[in-house]
Amino acid sequence: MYNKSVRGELILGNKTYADITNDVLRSQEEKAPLWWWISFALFFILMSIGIGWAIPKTIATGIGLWGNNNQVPWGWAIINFVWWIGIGHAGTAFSIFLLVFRQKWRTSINRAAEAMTVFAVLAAGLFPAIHVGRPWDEIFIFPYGPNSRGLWVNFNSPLLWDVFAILTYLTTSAIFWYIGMLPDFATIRDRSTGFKKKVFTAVSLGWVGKMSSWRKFEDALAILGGLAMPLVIAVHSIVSTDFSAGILPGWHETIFPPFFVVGAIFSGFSMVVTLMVIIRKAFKLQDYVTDDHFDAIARIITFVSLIMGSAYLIELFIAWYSGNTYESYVFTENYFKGHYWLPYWLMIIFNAFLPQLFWFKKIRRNLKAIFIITIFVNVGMWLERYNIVVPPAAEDFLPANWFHYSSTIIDKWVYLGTIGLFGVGVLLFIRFVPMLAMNELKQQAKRQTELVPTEEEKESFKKFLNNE
Amino acid sequence: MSRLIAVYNDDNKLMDAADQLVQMNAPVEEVITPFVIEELLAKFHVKSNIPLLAFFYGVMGITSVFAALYYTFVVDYPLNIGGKPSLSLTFPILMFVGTVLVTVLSTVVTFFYQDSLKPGKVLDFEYPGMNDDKMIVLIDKSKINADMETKLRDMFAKTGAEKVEVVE
Repeated sequence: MYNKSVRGELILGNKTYADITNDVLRSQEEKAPLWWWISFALFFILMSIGIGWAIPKTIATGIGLWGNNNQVPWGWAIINFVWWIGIGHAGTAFSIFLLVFRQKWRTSINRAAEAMTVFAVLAAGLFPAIHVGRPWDEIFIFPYGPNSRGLWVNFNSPLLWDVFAILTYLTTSAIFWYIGMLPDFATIRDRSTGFKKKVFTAVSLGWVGKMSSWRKFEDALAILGGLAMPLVIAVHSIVSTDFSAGILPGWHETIFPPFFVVGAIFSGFSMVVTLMVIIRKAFKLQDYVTDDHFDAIARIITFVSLIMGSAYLIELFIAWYSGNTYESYVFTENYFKGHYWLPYWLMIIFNAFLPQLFWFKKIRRNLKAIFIITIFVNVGMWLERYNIVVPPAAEDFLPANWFHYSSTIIDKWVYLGTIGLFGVGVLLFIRFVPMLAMNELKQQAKRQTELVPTEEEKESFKKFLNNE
Repeated sequence: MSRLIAVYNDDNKLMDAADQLVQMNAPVEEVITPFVIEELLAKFHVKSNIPLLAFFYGVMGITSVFAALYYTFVVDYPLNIGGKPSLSLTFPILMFVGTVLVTVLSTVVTFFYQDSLKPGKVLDFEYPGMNDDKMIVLIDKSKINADMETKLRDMFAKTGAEKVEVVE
């Protein structure tokens, strides 16, 4: 039960249902602001160079253009892959975990988080696809029948699980996102004309908010959500087994699955906050994305940051307690004071210490501070993946083989290209799709109005507290 | 099709009307709302079989994925990977992922099929603001007599309907 006097208002300004529609659709119905065009142009240029030049060049020439070498076979490509997948988990983590746990404050943010998931997973999926070197041979990953090759794919390999897990995750989250938008598409269809009406007539699939439709809608979404929740955990655990199934010191750790899942939620939540700060400011949505929302997310980030810090400590403890010289070396020599001390210590500062500033209420409610801290967390999470992928591989069992890694210009442009793809996707989403879930906001507004306690109820509650 | 419709802009008033409709045993065709009103669904006992069907899809998914894995990896081409058994404990991972995929796709197809959702579907009823802030009760006029219609009109007016009219 939602009680406004206890939990605060999630939608400010006594909005009517029509106000909610008008406020959310303002971003679509008004002309695009200048900042939108400038950002779109910038991201589009990044995407064009990254995806239009760096990736085709990689495919045409080979991944020798990257900084990978015999010693470090996975470089930026896999770092970026894991980073994007982590961000991609936020939508589901945010939208579905909070749905399942009945956290009503999700309503203003879930749609943007789900959109972010889809674009981030698309960006992530590019990396393994090009990392194989010959993308035209990728069909051999799928166990298509009849078995014309006399050999099936190796179902014991975490790399193969990855393919299925990520495609399933992409499908599930895209469907979850789309189904959730049907009622809002219908709202746009009903109030638009001309070409726009035709488009939204097609995408709304003839939705009308009948009772019977709502029942099926709710049931279908609950099932998709219920299935996607363990899927998040499975997908990122599988990504982590790509490493922990290897025998390299620094990779061969049983802590990786939970460590990766928590890290994904950490970076994803931070990216959601970064985006929501911009969206709130740009579209003046402070009545819907309130300070209380940011406060709530900041508390979660603080908690998750503590888990991350503990995980870093546990890694250290196990390196010492296992008595394994190679494992200890990775931490004491390689990370602490070796070639890779800088990314390691920056990771510790950005991920474990900086978010602890959220213990202060003033910082949790200061948008600039939240914005900056969450950007640092995302940088920290990228560095964490760098620390996992590169240092253990660069210096493994045989010192004679040691070879250090440095990325090339192509590596950097492929990464920037995916940032461009993500940015273009998010900007198009902001412009053409309702960025807040209108139907859920209206439900929330209803809840707020109906459960305001009367004076009588407040009195009886006081008496109850005083044991009268 | 001729319908008697009552348009509300306040869900509390709509719920009052819903109480009366249930008491009068009126043949309500549908109630259209811009967001889900759980109490309304409970009042009219609106149910769906999607959860049950999803369970069966899940069973179908897990069975078919296991069968496919077993056939390819144990029967058709058992690989010797370090002497490990072909029927491996790694199967549940792909079984889980495959089951989710089959269940999600089948559930969505069922939802679309049962609700006749498809691109370009022609709406059989439209009213300004019906997916925005209006809540509309639809009653099939052929199922009520003149006396019932008068009673319903009175009730709608008393419960604060913004508009009561007959539409074709």
